[in-house]
Amino acid sequence: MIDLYATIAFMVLALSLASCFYRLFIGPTLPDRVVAIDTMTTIIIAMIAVYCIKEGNAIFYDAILVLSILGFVGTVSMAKFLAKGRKIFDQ
Amino acid sequence: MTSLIFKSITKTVSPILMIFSLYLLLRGHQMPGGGFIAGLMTSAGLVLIYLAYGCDFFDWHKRSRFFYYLFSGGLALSFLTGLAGLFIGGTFLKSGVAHVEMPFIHESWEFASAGIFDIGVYLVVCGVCVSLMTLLGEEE
Amino acid sequence: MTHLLVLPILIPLGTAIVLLLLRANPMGRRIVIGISGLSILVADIVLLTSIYQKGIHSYQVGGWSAPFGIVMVGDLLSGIMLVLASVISLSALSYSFGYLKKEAQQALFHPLFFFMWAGTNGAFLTGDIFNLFVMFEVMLMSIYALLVMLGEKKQIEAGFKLISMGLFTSALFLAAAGGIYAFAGTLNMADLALKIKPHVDHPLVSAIAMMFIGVFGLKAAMMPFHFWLPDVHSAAPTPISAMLSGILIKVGVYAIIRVFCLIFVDLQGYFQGFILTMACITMFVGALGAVAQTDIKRLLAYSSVSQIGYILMGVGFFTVGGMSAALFYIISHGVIKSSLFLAAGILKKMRGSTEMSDHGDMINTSPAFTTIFFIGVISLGGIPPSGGFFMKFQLIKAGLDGAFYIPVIVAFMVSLMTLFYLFRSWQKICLSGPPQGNPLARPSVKLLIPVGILAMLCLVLGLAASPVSGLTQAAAEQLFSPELYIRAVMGAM
Repeated sequence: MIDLYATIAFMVLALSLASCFYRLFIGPTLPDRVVAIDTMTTIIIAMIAVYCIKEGNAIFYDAILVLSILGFVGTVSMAKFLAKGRKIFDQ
Repeated sequence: MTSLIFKSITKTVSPILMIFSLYLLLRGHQMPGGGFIAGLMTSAGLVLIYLAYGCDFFDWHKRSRFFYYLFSGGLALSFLTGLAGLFIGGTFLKSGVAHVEMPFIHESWEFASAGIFDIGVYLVVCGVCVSLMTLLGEEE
Repeated sequence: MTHLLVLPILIPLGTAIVLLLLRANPMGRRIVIGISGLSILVADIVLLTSIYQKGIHSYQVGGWSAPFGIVMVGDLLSGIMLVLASVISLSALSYSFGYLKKEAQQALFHPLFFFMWAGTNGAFLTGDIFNLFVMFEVMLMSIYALLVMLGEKKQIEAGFKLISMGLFTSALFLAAAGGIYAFAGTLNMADLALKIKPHVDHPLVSAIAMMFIGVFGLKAAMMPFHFWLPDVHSAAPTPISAMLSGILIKVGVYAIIRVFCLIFVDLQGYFQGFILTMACITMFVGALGAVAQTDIKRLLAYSSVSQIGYILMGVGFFTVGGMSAALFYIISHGVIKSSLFLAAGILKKMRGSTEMSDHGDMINTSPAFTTIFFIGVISLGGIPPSGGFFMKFQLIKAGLDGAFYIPVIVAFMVSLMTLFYLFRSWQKICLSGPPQGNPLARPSVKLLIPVGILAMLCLVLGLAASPVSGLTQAAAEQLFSPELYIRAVMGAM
């Protein structure tokens, strides 16, 4: 049963990944693209989580933690870059 | 001016990141983790601090030479571990393992020379990241 | 000596680290570079003779046995490529001392150069698909930095192109390696050869083989993917241009040979038409591009594209003769092209430009330069006393033996074009009247010596063609009996 649910979840996630790619591709402005990439990180995290549930092991949970931290740092620095230009390390 | 929310989050998150990176570094021998990803986590914590408090928070741009030698030294440490495998163990990168009975807790802990290799990698990643950030911060 | 096989990776890696630590000590760096450069050359030559006498070597890194651990394998092909790499790298290194004037530039250049050298040697020695990927990355990372090091606008632009190409290739390579791992459950090349053999008809196998052609074709600038090469090779600092054209695009060809002569042996016939067609188009397009250039470095870069077509043609015959000719071609083209690129760098040093119209009358300014350049031109054009004649002769003979008439005809036509554009450039630079502007300074002897040595090697390759072609013949025979390679790797179990 869990396999079926996992497959359905994977399909939904793959579809949303594809729509993010679409936004990344056409995105008229830079913020659109940044949000698209951030969403893609989240979707990949969800995919790893679903995979862990399907396989029944917890070995990739740390990968989720690492990816989410990197996604957070990336988004924050992108946001600051959009707001302040090159002076992202200024107070 | 960075927002107060971001500063408060950084205050909580960066120490957790440092602890987490240490955990990743130490478990790297048997489980997912290791020097590279641990260095990346430490650097992520440092990037957060840089973003929230600016590059003057640490005054590290005066010590760029130290970080240069940090990552060169890390590289040398990793390489020497591999060479030690060649001269002591017989092949390049051969890893030695020692089981040590820890005092008080009466458990046998495993120490592998691959851990030293990982520490070298950790130093390389941290050193390069800090050097990059100080360079980016300097450039106006 | 069981550790001989890892020395070509360990020495450059250790040297790079020592050079990083010796940032503040230029004299110490020079001594270290000299000693370790020569010792790499010696180690490579000893390794090649040892492989020639005792057969294929293998080395288990970390003591883990073959299909599980990382394995290094040295066969004759790797040995030949290693020696070629060390000859070209040594010339480029000694040239770089005269080319880069500032100490700070040298402090950055030399460690990166040795990292690149370690990556190249690693790519030639590894017996594992994933490590091939890693070594490609080591090589590419150093090249990114070396390319944009001098900070000219043209170089930054070329760097952007190279990085996009590199990222795309890496993603594709990783996908292909993941696919083959999912299919066969191993990444060791010898083990893969055994596991893939019963399943060659599976569509996934040919799909993965096609992906590998794409990846390595991009690296080697095979026809649909040649767009990045002329910009990158012409914009790079000259010692790096020589390395790129001389040895690094051959890494892609090496990987194609390795993969198709070991893992996808039974797909050779299936992909032969494709590879030959692409080779012919690559030759032709590269030569057409070269004819139109006015800048000597861009001309040489387009010529590299065209010559890669010749090499791929030799590979695409999939006969012992063709492979041997291709290996001979790799050797002599590496030597010739790097000598020509280094000569172009001398021109750049003299007048700050590589446009052919800015130069002239080199025959009176510097007869030595004219002679060296002339040797390069006749070698690449394929005129008898030089190594270039034998490389083309063997290739065409192999084509006629295998009854591949159309590629041979294309090769002949492209040779004529090659002769045309090379002689035109030589005539413009060396024979035509003195150019406008300030009088020419004489080229420095420091720069002329490495170029002269490479030019001498071109002639030596022509005069002593038979031992070299004997070696390539042996290497080709070894490539067409993959069971030797598999036994050398897996037999240690």
